[in-house]
Amino acid sequence: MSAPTHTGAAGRPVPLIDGIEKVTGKAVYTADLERGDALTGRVLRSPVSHGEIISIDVTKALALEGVRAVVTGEDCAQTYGVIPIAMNEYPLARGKVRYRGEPIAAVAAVDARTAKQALDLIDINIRELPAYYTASDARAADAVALHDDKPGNVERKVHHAFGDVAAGFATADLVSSSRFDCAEVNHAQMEPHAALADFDAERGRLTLQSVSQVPYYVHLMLARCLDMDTSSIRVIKPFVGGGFGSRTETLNFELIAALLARQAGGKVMVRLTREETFVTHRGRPDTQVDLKLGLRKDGRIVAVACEVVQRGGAYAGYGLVTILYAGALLHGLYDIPAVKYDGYRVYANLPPCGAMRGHGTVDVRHAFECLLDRMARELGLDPFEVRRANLLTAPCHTPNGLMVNSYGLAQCLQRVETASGWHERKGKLPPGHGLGMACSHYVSGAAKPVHWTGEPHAVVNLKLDFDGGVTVLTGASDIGQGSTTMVAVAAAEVLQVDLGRIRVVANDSAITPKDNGSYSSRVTFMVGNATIEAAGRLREMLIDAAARKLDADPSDIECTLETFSVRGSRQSILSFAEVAQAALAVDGTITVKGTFTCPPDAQGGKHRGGAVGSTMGFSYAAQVVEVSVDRETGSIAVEKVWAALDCGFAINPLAVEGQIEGSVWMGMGQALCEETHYAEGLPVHANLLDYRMPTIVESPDIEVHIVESNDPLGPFGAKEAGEGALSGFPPALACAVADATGLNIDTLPLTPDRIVEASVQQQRAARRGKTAR
Amino acid sequence: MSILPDFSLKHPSTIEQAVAAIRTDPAGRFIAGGTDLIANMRRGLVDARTLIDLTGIMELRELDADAKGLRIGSAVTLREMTGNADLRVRYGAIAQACEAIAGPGHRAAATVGGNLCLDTRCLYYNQSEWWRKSNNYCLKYKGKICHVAPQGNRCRAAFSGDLAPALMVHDAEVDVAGPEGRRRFALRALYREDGADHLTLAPGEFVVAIHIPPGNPSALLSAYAKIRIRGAIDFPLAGVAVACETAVCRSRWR
Repeated sequence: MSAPTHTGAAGRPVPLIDGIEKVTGKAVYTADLERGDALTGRVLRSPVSHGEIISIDVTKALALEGVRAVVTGEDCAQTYGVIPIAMNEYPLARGKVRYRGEPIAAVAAVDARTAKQALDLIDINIRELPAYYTASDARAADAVALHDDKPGNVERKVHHAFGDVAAGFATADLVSSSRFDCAEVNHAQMEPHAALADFDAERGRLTLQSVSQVPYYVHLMLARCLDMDTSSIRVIKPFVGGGFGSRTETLNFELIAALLARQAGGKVMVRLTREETFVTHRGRPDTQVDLKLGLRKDGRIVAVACEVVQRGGAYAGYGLVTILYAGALLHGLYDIPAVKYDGYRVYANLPPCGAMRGHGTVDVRHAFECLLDRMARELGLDPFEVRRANLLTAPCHTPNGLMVNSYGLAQCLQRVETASGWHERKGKLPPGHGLGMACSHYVSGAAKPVHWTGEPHAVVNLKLDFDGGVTVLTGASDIGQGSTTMVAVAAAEVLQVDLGRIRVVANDSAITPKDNGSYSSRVTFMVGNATIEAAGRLREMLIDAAARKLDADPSDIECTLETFSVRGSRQSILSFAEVAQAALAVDGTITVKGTFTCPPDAQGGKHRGGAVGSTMGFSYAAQVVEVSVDRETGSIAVEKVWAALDCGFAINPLAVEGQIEGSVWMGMGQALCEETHYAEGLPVHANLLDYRMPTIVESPDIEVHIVESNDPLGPFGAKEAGEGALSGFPPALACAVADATGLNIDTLPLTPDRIVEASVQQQRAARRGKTAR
Repeated sequence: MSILPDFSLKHPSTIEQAVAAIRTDPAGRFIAGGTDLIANMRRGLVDARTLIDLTGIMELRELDADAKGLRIGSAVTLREMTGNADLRVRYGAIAQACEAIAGPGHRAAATVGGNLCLDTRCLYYNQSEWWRKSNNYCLKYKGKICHVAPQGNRCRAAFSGDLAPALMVHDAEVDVAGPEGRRRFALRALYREDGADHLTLAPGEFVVAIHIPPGNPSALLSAYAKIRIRGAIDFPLAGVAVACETAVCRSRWR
């Protein structure tokens, strides 16, 4: 398919259309919705890591003046969760508590002070059980099972092998292996969690507003946990201050707010503290990667064996998808004939992990790119040449059944290689300075959603009315990534109208069509395509109306920049308003629909778990990182980053640039300083001082290169842009540190203490070497 | 966000009024920028019904350099300090230490006296009420054992002020006021090695000003550096201030 031409809105840099509200402070976030008429909801949390609940006595709390509702596990006997086959969490603990901070009870009271007093009046009696804070302790032979149906505390084992792995290793000139330990990290989105639930006791209806990335899941889980009909529930998403995966799953506070509101027969606001937001977790698990690679002298990767252990926390959450992603995306970046993967998702007495930007793939990609870099050095190969020796040829399907239709990795490599002056500068930098590079990729939406219903993957409605305005109705959640702007630009491009003519109404289940939500970078590809289809239908109706008015054949009508005319004729030019009026005259207000469905051959291999990792198109990224390292203090300064991303086509280059910078920056946090810490299950890091995200001081100059491979199925050729560049950063940084210091460090993050420790060990080893000689 | 406990706020405009206020309510606490105290109050670490705001006392807001040396009022903000050109040239360590504290937003409110009297910090202490209660509290506050060194009987919470060492290398003295009157002593005597009780201030005393003797600042070079995990908004893992007077040092520092 030839590259489409773009004459209108698509491809131009556009500031996000909801940006003005955000920078002027007018945007209303969930926590801002309270107008003084809501009760305050607060949550009582488990003080112990693991225990059997003997009793919970709420009598005194209920008797306190000003208390309107008290709920416990007794009030909801239904589990919830994001994966239909793995829902094992209750909104409020029942029978057992499994991590410190797990909700046990909640109150709604007239004010925060009364709510706090009420919490203090709840008596809980818990018989403590042994608790496990590492995957290896939880897997010990004598460990008590957190969940009765999972002896050994392994939630999910994955054993996948594609190609002849043993034969592959036999043909390798160099086989190396290493163990990498990557710390647990959290999304640390700026907006703490909040939900406002309003129960209409007369009609038995519930309205919930919350910070969700996927209001549709929240809707389903509310119906399940409150045993209500979905038609009696309305879910609205206000402005959201960041998601990064933390709000893909329905979260306990959303269900608790609803349970409180129903019992109180009114409106309840639940605003979590930063600590509670951290305790709700769903971040990237602590991950141990044992990786073995086989490489030929010419740089060809001939075999991969990888074992991954993820410490998933106390509940299933997204776990089985995370452990499947970790293995599935060993494929799809390079052409690798043989891959063996063994994954173990382990329960532990810590807050549940979940989806986080680059879901499941980041730590494995870190290990892979670091080991590949070390092996290239050992064989005297240039890391760029090693990548070039392993490029895929699109279109193709990988050994595990992933569809690759467009592949811009070669261009990404070329762009950052040239821009960074790699060959001129590598190995010639001053002492303590180094260059490193790595590649990465990510899906443009899961081709098979976890709640599989057979419906289209995305539906968009368009309305054209007497005012000449075009309203796009979508359930796609803008969480700061720019989906609302993308939808507007796509509609404007197809309709050839000014962007100002488009209004986007999003995320109100009473108004907007269902959407599977903002996760796995699906929105641009799926909702973008659905928008294009809907706008195309409206455009056809407008062209028909113009043809009637101009007494011409519809195929002769040209539609450009808000005007309609007969091709070749200059006399009769109709304005958009005139044509809209003519179209409306036929049948009144026009409503059209567009849908998008992923074809079966995009939906992955037939093996168990084969749907995870499957997608319509992968984004591809290459980056070069330059660092300077102070060996005395162990501090690393990131001097400059060159990042190239193949996003197919940049519908909004400004937003793409922002997403790439954000990915690099988030990867930098995980690489340099972010990690969670627990003291016997208590989160030591649960504030933005101790959970160290980089600040502007650490932020390097990031030179962004956009590569456009024009995916044949993508909207205008586009693929995802929000996640692909993340997982390349940590390994590129680690390789740069190795280049600067000779230190191969197998842990993340590369904090000063780890650098100094590795440096000391290196010096000791060097001294031993000298003595031996 | 956790709710703040109720308190009443007093606004003295003279040192005498501030002393009178603390006499009336000996359990009260002094506040200036509040960047440390308010966060700790939200966490339930401060049990004070009265806060006495020192920032309305003009004497505490003055920053003077003259023949008698340098005098820094305790309520001078860190931003005022970093904006002072004279300080940058003649008292490098002090200016650099101020600049290394927290972030620009904090420095606009935080004061010199506040940084000197910063509460000690510990991962078992700077946590919410729920957290500390779940952990049976600690030696520093409400509890019986130190979780850092459970065998010992001393609190290991660490003082994390950046400014104290930088002032010390310039031989700073501290001027304090309280119910027993005014006194002045070497800054190093403000501290003792006990995380639970690290300041030698008597009950009701507060820091009025810092004095640095005139000496010969043109011959004195000083600098401050800190190690921290993050390049901003992070307390020091270690902080070092150095001052030297010889010509050799001077050339090296430049």
